[in-house]
Amino acid sequence: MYGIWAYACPVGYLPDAYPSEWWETSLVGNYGVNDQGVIPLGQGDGNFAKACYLNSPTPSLLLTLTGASELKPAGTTDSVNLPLIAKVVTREGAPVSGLQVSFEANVVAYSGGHEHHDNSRPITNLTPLAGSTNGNGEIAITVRAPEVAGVHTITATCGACQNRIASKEILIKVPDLLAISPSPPKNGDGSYAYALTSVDRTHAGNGRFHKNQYYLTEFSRKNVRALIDAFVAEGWGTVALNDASLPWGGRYDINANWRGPHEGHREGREIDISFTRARNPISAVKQKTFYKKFCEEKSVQVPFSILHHYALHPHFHVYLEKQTSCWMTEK
Amino acid sequence: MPLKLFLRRTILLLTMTLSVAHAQDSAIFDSQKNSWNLQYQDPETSQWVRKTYVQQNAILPSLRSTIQSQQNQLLYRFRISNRADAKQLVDTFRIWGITSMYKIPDLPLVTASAKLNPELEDKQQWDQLNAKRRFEKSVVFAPKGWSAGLRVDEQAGQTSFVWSPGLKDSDPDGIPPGKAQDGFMVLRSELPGVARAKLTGSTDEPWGLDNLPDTPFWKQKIAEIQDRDYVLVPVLAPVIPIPTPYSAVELTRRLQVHVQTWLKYGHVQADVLARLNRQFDVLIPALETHNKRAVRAAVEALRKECSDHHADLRDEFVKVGEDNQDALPMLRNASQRAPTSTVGIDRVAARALIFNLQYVSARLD
Repeated sequence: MYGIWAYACPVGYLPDAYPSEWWETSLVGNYGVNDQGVIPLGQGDGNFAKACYLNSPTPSLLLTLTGASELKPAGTTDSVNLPLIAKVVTREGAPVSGLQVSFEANVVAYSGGHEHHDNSRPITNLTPLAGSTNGNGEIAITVRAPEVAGVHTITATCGACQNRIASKEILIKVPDLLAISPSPPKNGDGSYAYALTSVDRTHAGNGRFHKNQYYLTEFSRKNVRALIDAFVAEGWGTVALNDASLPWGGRYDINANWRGPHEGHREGREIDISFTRARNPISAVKQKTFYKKFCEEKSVQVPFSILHHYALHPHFHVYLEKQTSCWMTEK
Repeated sequence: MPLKLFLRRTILLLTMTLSVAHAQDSAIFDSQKNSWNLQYQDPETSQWVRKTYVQQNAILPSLRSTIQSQQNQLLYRFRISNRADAKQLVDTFRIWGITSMYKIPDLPLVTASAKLNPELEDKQQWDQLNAKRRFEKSVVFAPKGWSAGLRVDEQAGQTSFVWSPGLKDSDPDGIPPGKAQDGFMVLRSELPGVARAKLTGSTDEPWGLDNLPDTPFWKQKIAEIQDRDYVLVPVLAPVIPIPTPYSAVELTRRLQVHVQTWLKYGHVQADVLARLNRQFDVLIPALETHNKRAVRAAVEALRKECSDHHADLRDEFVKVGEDNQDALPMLRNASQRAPTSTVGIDRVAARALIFNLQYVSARLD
């Protein structure tokens, strides 16, 4: 309808200045309500600011959606389901029961530190997806976060309400993660103390890659710094840091497919250190030496547990906060 | 009961028993192999895993401690031998339990907030780490092919000196059976006391206790396994700070306090300690009243207590040690949780006591 401005008013309202010469003479349906809810009441030429005015024999209904705004991804420590409450009240604030409200979840593309997006991206799970308001005018739903971090929008729809839609943005994230500095200090020989070796295409899957996988908790960030320093003191050279966590944590889908193989790396407490990148290979025998050296000597400054991954790409998988063994002092 | 029903129930019971038996955490020690057979549910995969953890204590070390003055400080030097019939290389040497937290000179402060100014905070943290590293390099030294470190456990209020082989392929993997390694050194101003060297042997999978389930059962088992997983040898270590300004009375008090720790670790027997304490109770008042005669008498009595147990320990050996008298692993009781004493006073303890009495006497004159 080029040049023609379609006009819609909520239920119970009429277009400003209706009827006038620039409104079509006939209204559609009962004050604009049809089977789908509200539809244009009329149409004009688009040159005038339009407004609606109340002209309803029944009270207008308002829909709200409330609850917390942040939720930790599934599969992380203390991740819990989140309750959200949709409520319908009259303009005077009286609750309205028996009204049908439906819910829908969507995710903002490329959010949560994922530089990729497709239709298979996991979204927030809502239970139930629809229902009627109770005597308090409320209907409660449970929001279960997916494993993948991101910005999710929950929408409640009430066809009989003045505002029809109420939405709420929920951040699915591990809070307060900090980036490892991309500007490493230099060693005495001029080499860099560490290198962020995953910011390249060779380390990615499906031709896609993440660029921001170097986030840690403040405590882990401090520990990894001490860990690097300890490597350097051992003459290791540049320490190749492969993967930590994404800016908002959650599943780090290294192959950009919302799935494994990384099971950990969700909370900014783990990091992979390559044996072979940055030209610092270490033999199998010396991996044992390395392990014991760090257990016995460094484990206080660097609370960590090391797992060896001997698959295709051998590396140390370091738990920077979860110390199980290696922690002995004289009793 | 009909035979068919009996058989069915028996099979069901057996099946249930077997499945329960399988689905149980267990850690069973095999004394023949000096190893533990572990069975647990992998926390990551939920699969039941069976594996063997070999204890890291199949070493037979002896340790010589020597002390020499250097630049107004004391250079502590250590030599470790591993007996020919040992089964593992000695691959970690740690002097632990030093109850001092060293003050690092000119330690840069970290004032920036990681959240508000992460780049500055990062730089300040690195500056602090570099200062710590410089300090470490001025305190603890390693022989060629080994590396040395200072482990500072703020929570426990302890410092450790740690040596382990280097990471280059050309570096040794440890001290093999039948070999010795000299050149482990610490430079500090504190006077010697007795500490324990925690030595471990090389195994194929030292990380075998990592990633066990985080449950009370496994916490208790890991503690039990780790308690057996090393050998302790008494060692001379810098543990008694010299008071500033100097005070013979205060130094002697500190020496007496340190000597009290020997009972717990089995370096002295209770009756000997009681006699030592009686002499300390004479020595300290004598020092307070500058009664040199009484001081010398008390010092002599303390030295005699040592020579009664080690008649061949001559003064010239106090600093340098002696051939065939290197310290041997401490005997530990059946569960190996605590050391047990078999001599009145350990030879290393006697050397520490005599060294410190010589120091007090020398400054008295």
